[in-house]
Amino acid sequence: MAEAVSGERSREDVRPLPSGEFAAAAQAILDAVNGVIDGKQETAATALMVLLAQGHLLLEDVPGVGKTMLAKTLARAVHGSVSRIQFTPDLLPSDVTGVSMYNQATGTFEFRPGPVFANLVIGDEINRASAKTQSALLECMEENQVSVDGKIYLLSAPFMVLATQNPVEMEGTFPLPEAQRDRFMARIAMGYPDRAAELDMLQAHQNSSPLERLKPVVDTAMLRRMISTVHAVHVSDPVREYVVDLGRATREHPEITLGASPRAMLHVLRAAKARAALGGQEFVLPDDVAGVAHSVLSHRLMVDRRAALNGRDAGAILKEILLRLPVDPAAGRESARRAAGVR
Amino acid sequence: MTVQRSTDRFRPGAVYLPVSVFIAFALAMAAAGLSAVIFSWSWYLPVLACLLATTAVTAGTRFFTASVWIPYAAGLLALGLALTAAFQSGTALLGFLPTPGSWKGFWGLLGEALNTVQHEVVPVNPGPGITYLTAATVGVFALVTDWIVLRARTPLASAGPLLAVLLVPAFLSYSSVGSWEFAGTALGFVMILAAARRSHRAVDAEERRRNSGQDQGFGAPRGGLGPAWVLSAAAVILTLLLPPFIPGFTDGVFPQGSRLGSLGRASGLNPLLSLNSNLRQTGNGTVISLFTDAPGAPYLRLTTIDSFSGDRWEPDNRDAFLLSPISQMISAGSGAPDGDHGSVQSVTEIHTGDFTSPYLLVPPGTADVFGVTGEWGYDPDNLAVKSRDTGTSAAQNFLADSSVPDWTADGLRALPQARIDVPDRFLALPRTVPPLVSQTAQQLTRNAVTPFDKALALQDYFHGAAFSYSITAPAEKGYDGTGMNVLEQFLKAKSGYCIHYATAMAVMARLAGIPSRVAVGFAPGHATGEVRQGQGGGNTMVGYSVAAKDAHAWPELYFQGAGWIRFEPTPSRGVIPGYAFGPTPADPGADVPVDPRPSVSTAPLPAGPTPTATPTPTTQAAARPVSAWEGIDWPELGWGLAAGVVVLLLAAAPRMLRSLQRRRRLSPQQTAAALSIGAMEELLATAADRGIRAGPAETPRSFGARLARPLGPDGHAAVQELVREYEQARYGSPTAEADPGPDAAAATAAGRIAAVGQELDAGAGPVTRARARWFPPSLFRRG
Repeated sequence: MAEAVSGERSREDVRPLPSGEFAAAAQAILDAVNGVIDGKQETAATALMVLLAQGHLLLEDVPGVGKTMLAKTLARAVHGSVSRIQFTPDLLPSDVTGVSMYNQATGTFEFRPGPVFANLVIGDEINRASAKTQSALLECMEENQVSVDGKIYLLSAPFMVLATQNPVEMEGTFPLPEAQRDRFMARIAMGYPDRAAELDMLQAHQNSSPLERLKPVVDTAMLRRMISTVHAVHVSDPVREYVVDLGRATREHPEITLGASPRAMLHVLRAAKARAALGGQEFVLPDDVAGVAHSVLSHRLMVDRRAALNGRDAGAILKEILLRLPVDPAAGRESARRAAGVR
Repeated sequence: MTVQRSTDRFRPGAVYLPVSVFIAFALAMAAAGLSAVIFSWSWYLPVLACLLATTAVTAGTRFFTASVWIPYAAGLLALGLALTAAFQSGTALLGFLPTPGSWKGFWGLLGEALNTVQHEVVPVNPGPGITYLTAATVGVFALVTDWIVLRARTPLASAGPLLAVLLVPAFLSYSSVGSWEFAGTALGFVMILAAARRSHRAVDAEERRRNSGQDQGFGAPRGGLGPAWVLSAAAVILTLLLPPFIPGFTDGVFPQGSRLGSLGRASGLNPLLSLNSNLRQTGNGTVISLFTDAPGAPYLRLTTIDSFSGDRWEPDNRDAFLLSPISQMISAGSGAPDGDHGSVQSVTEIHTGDFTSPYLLVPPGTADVFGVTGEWGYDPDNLAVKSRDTGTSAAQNFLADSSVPDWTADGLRALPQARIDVPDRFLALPRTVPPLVSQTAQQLTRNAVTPFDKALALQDYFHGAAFSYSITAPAEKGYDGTGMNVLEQFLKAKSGYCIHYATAMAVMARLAGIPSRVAVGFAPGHATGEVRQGQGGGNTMVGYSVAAKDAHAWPELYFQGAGWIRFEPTPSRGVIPGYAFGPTPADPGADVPVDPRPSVSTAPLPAGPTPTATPTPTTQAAARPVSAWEGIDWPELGWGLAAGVVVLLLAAAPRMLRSLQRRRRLSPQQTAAALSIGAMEELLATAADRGIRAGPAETPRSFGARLARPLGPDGHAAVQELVREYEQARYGSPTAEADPGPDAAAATAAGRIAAVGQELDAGAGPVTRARARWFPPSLFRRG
């Protein structure tokens, strides 16, 4: 049996926060991020949601729109350890996870943690690395731990990977296959800023980056409490059913060859819980599920080739499904009232 | 949550077919009910053919197209072709393709039908016009019903067209709708409901399958036919139970033969039978005003009736003889004025007002008519003036010159008893004459020598104290009729109104060998007190007004050498002519009249209650003032009120059901969570009543946002609170907290919903508001 190593997580206070404190902390993080990145409030909110839902974020867009900047800003706003891996074709798995080295002074093997041992790991241009290295990172993401030489090293908590991927076809790149993208809770396409935001950006960034002046607004302990607050968000049966129905609808849709996996639906639910908490609610609404569906599901769905040729993409299909998927079948029915009455 | 999937292809034609079949069935049964108002069954086959052609083509087209409108267009086309083939095959190409000539023919048929509807007495003859109108109406109703059931998706409303067909016999025929026809229609209606439900379910399942959605959702149609079934069952049961109690189905309020005109009042004096409803008018509405220089108020005559077939007495159809334009009228008078007798000349100026009839109201003996608009002809036989085109007597303003022979009783009695030179039809009797009638006639005329004395004996018999005038007392089932059985009934009851008296005397006169006919028109009205000078220094003309309740019928008897002579057997109505002013029976109740006493009166004809030198020839009963309350029949009024209450209850039923539903949903006798859900349900229904429906994929919150958008701040807040509470109850974690004052919570929720309803109303049109209140859609189609 591998021995669990590391983890400064002792008996600290991880009780859910009162809703006021949670909202204040969340707002502080968002303000900090929005102070650095102009005109990307929604993107920032999604990133924070993923962080609180303990997922990982895939930032996908053309170079130069601020993917890395967003990742760095978020990491800086949260007072946690940050590391950055610039993926290259010659990067090895051990460059990510860390390596056991022989210490001549002590005569023992010592584990040298790799960059993955941080609260926030920025994986730049993940599609440039070889498939082997990619899977090393993906494994860490899934397991929240690293096993080297038969020893298991727990990653820090919270742990979040912000990977960026450049969709422009380039030689020597290994784009993440759809199956691997499944590991990321959400994908964000940054998109270009609008005109005003771009003007502001040019003004703010002409000499120095505002990132340098950014002070962390929450610490990791606080972040863990925020995460535990998200955990405590209630999910009712009708909402769970709605999530399941949504997943089944993607699998049964004729224009989708690969629908959402059960893991994807788990991600949807977790993201919806984070969204509900960020909205100040103590329970998930169908609206939250629908609200996260696009960013959580669209990068996982494989659109039928013919539909794709007709210009259909996963986002549009998902939108249609949501427009038709019945919400809460028992709403307003006698059975619902009985259920509510009987308790 | 199961998704119903059919492996075979969805075929709307097959899914909708049963509905079409039952619609055709129900309409065929309802149309069969029309046999109560249309004679024989010969009209039914063309109607059925057109109905079947329409529904078959509509339903069949659905097998080939998914379009909504093409089947209806095809059905309409089929109806048009079927109508052409059935009614205009002569003018059509290949027997069924309409040509311009066919259109003209249809137009003519329509005119004929309208003429029938306006002027004929039910049951009408199954002429091509009425058959065409029935076939076209039933065919169009088939399409409308189809649309109501399948497209508007309100199967319950299909009762409308069915009832519309059934109501015709219900209102117009005293025998009402036959039980079988009614039961068949009701069965068809229930089958339509069932089939529609099935079809709509299949269509919904198909829709869901196509949308790859799941079962049903928030605000999705939930097939909540509960209230609909309750309503329809209640309607059917009520309809089955009520006919014995509602006067309209048998007698009373809607007596046989009466019909409502365009303005909702009985229009026109359809000879004989619509007279009944006129008679029963308690109001004093003036129909006709006139000025005359005649010595007394004149009778006004429409036409005469001479054919007593036994079942019903119809106005003579003498259109063929109406060849003479009125300009060629000659003073035929009531027979040619005898040289030995003078005649009374008079000029009468008549304003017909809104009295509508194909016949013109003229005083008896009218020799000429001036100033009448439209083309009119006169019947030399009975001097009736009738429109030769489609004109009516309404709003006519004309002068009538009349000349009435001045007969005396002695003059009539002294007539030579020569061979009678009128056609035999004036002596024709019904196939079977009840013995009571013939015995009475024989007994009465036994002692009289001359025909005039016989007639006088008959008249005096009816003026006996045993007889009383009543427009309602004997109004049992069918008593408004004029058949022979009614006559017998009348002689037993000794109570009735002018039609009974007039026809009884006419029939008994024929039994005594005197040719007779019944004239229909108006008894003299009341003097208005207005006096004007006649044109060109003519005589002084006195103004009279004639009201609907003055409608009257009286017998005219033919005496060889004198012509047609008017009698007045009806007690307390009309004016007994001077020559016929017989003795008042000395002993009341005497069956055998005393010997007719010759009248010494020389009063001009017709004598009226005007101050003349002659004795006033009115009976005591006629002079008796009638109090305003006397004309009211209390039991009938009671039934009318009861019927009104029932109709009001039925009309208010949806509103009451809706109110019950609201109270149940917002009942304080439930947990706070259940109340919140009930409140949301009620909010959805409130919005649906105003035409705002939650989509199946719409979350409560997005629906609330959409609903609140046009509302003011109060409505906005109310919607938000209702949605928030619903979400807490439905999606929130269960809390163990005690319900905090459910009474207060229920009141708050009710207040919020009322506020939302009011704000929605403020933004809605009057139709939407009225529908939300009286016919809430949420009750009939949920979701």
